[in-house]
Amino acid sequence: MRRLIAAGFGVAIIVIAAVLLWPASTAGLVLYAALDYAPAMGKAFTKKTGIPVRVIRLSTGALLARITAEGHHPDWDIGWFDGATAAVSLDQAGLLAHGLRPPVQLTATGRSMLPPDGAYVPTGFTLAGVFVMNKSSTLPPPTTWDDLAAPPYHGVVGMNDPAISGPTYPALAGMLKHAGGWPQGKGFITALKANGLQVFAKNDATLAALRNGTIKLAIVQSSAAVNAANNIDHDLTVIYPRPAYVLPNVIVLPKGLHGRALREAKAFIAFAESPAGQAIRKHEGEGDSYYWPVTARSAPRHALPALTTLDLATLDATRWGAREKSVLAWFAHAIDGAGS
Amino acid sequence: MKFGAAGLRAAIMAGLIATFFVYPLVRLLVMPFLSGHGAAGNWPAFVVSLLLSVGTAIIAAPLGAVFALFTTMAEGPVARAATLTLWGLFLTPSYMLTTGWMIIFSSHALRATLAGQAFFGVGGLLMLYVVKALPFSALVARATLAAADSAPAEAAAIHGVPFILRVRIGLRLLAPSIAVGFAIAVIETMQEFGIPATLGVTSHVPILTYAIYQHLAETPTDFAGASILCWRLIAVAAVFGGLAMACRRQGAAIQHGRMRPPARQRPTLRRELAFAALTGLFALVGIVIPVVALFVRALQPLAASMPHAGAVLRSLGFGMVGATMSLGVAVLILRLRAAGARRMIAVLDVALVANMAVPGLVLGAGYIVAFNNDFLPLYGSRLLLLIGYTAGMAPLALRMMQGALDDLDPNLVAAARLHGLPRLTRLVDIEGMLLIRPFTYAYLLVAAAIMFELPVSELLYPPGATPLGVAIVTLDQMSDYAASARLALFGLAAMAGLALVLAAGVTLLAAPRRLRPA
Repeated sequence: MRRLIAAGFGVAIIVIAAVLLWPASTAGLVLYAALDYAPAMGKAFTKKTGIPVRVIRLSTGALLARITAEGHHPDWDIGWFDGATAAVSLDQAGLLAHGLRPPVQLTATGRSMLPPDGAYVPTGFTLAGVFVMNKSSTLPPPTTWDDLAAPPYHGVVGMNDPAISGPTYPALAGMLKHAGGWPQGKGFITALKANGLQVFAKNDATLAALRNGTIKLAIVQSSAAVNAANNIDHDLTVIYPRPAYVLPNVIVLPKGLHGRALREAKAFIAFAESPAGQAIRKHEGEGDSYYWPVTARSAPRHALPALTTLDLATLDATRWGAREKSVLAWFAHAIDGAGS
Repeated sequence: MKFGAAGLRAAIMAGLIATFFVYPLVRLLVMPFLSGHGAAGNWPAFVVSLLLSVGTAIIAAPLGAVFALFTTMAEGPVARAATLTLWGLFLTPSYMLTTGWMIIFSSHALRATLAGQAFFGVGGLLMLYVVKALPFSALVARATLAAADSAPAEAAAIHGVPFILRVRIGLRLLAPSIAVGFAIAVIETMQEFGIPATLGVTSHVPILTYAIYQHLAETPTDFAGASILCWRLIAVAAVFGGLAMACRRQGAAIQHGRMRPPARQRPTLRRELAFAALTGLFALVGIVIPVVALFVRALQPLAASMPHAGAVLRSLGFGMVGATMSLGVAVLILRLRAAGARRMIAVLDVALVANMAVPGLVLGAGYIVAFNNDFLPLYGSRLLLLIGYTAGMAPLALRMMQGALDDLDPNLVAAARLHGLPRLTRLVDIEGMLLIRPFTYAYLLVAAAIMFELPVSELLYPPGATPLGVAIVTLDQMSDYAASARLALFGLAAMAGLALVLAAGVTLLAAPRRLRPA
């Protein structure tokens, strides 16, 4: 009996270890994705082409850090996330393949996002920072970034921490650019801090702070804002600032990808841009489905305003990508207070 | 031949330690020298962490000594409750404790109060640090007091020494253990990661361990910068570890056969009530209030489907396999020690002491640097995560199994061999039965520690296989407290289930066989 129980325990441990350590199939593509429609896209792509796709969902910050840590021994075949500046940072570290073909029938906004070396492919865009308020709020709705430094907004504005929330760096870069660039724009951010700017970890935390009354105005990514206002709390309203900074979602491939894996990855990019792929992204996703396409072959979801009503601005991804480290270090030290 | 086999096993073990402990640490720590990375910046996190750690230790060390004194000298329900409270505080994962308190202060009304503002600042960090440091200080002081002799107290009673003088003498005797408790509290607080990863992020107080994590796992990554911070963390551990060792030597007690430990006595009612209040305060702050908050929030509906639902079973599996590996390594090392491969044992002992001084965060950082190459491309695999857990927990497993294995009389096994009992019978029916209870106790403790482990998990988890601790902290950062509370409670329930199953297994295994009729 004793030996039976001891043997049973041993077998159980071996089985658990085998299940935990069983190697994943190497066939097909490994997709690191920070966009919530990626699993549905992976399934649809497999259904259409027969190529298996293992989708690994990560937050944008974790995804970028993971790609950086893996360095020149990547375990991924495709990366899909928000932020051309982040893609430029990865490219400058020598981690990305070049020469990716841009989608066909690009819109003018889409064309403005193309990198010179084909290091990434824009697949759509959201806005890096929009304002979210309660409809019942007595706070005057701001229209420009400059308004936020005014006395009515003292202590009631919150934003994400750009060190934790990947898509927030472009929003910060946009604010800096609007205020004169880097380093001139520091003064504006410091003025916001002096006016009581609060910093939370990510979109969800900032929106939670808005809903529980800790703040009265949240600066978050447009997809999270529209999703919250349409599906979570109908008392919320989204205000599009002037200007609103474009945040492309991009696909990147690792340097050194070749042969069949490269062909399959390029087939996936083409599928992501196809009308069928865009339909899946818009209908199977949650917050990330609220994006504007960059090709003329597809239209955005109805909850999004027409682009002609917005004052759009783009960031020079190469320039702001190169500055990311110093800007984030300064923000962590001077604004967040948790800087190390 | 016997020595040769033991020597070979020791050499293999030393090789494993060199590969999975020394090599990654060296790779990490030489980075600043190779990259020429300047160490000018990054001081605020170090200074704040050191001040908080010293502040915590100033509060926790005397309190720990009081707890140690009471639980060693007193008898009765309050003393037993105090011991249980200390173990409860020791075992509660720090991020779970913090999550409970953050749930309480997540309402705007409470957050806006003075208490809320204090909680989301240095005050909250200090409170939680003290709660987590108390058991370390108390358990270390208890170990010192356990070696005390009753002779001084008896002599004082016989000679009618006044109370004040007795207290002064007692304090002088207790001083070394308070000092050791202080040093341990500083080291533990300095190396704490769960509290900074939850409350530290929200309150924007710069903390060294989280700064290291930020350098490694957030963009832009900076491994050389992380290495510099690791040097500072290790330097503090070395300084205060040295202090602790010096204090231990200062307070060394002479152990002899006629020594008698002081008899436990029922304290006066006034003292018992005072201590009951102190115990109740720590039990409330460190266990009851956070757990109740988790329960209440877990009952609230979720915004969407349960995220990271697979994390509980996955981490339970990691805990079970990791505990088996850790205890296996521990038993092997203890066997080698018994076999007497002296030089290798000295190497192993140094490595084990060093391993205990190196926090999991530093070890995990070393693994990222060391195992992402063409020769050992283990980074991003579940195997490396398991190895990381094992390397981190083996010293704990070794300490827990050491006493039990030392008590095992080698003559017993020799007698069994002389009587011709097969190896399996000796192993299962004799050694196994004698070790089953301490082994189960150690197994459960190590499995729980791995299941709720955070720093190594954060740095080494493979994409798509989020461990429980990472899932809970991620949900905390998204303010999704309902989901994080559910995950935490499911995790505790799963661990309780494992404990019940193992307890039932031990009962069945250790039950005496029925006597057969002659």
